[in-house]
Amino acid sequence: MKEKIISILNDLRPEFDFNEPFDFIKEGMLDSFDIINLVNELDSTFDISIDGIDVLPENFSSVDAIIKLLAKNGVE
Amino acid sequence: MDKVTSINEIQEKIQSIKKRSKGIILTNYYLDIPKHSSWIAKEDFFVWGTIDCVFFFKKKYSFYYLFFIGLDEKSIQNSFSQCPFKNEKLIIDIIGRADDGLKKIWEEIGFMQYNSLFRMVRIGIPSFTKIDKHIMQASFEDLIEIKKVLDKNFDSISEQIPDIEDLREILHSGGILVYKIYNSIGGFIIYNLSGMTLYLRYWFVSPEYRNMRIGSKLFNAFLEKGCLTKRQILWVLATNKNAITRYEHYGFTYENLYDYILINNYERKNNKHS
Repeated sequence: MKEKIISILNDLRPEFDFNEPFDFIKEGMLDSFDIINLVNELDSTFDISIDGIDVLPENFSSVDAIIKLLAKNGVE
Repeated sequence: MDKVTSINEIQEKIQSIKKRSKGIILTNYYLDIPKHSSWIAKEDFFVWGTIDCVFFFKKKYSFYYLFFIGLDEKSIQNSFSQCPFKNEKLIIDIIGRADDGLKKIWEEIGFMQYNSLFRMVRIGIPSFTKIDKHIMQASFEDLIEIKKVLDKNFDSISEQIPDIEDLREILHSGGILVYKIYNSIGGFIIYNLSGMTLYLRYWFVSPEYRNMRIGSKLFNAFLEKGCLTKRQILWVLATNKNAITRYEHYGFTYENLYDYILINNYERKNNKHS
């Protein structure tokens, strides 16, 4: 799942390296609007529907945080 | 209608809707703790809701921004029909892809599209030339004039004009550059630097100083401020063709991300009764 998430992130914002252990939000790699696009991609890739109220920066600050959010939505 | 008193209160309201949800929740509200704490402190952030839907209202000028968190389309429609604020002048911002279903829900309730913006992005480390000597960081004394220019030349409904406190904060972070001619402001550029991303917020040249390349000199200085960034971003009104052409000239391209500004029928109703 980790590779898949990194691949989605790289497709979405190819100018950044999401393999690096940065805080994606603090480093300006993802902003709230990128997150909206990311949610769309995650929804269609994993066939889920992430709640609007889970669209919080901390849920997208790292690959691990995204994995946790996906797990909450039933993705194993 | 009650004033929102704490971030906890917001979180509790969100949780109460979430607990009742069996599917996805429909919302245009994204909690931003620093920003919303400041709204609470200013006492111009309000809440009203039913068991199925919560509305937040942020007062701005003569209107309110409306945020919603609802279980589904029906709950939003039913709750809004009971809302004591429904006849105020209300603005809804919906950000998403071009075919966003949330926009349709509010249009069915009676809101109309007032305007739309889309996001443009430029990828790569920006290049720039020598900074013109007339360009400098704005001072506190400049803020009143900048605020007046923003109020006069930008659309308060679509372009989220910062208030004077917001401008002070932007100034503190070094995000306002002015072009000074003698002691007058010939133009300014307001931006935000966030890690590897540079955001353009407002760019203005006074009409009497146009055709003097002040705009491009300011833009050059803006790019210099983001010399370590890997992308530069801006939002532009879809109707502002001149600006779009200019941004394209600088290498910006469209992203499939829209901001729809919807307005209720406040004006129509009030005209009818006047």
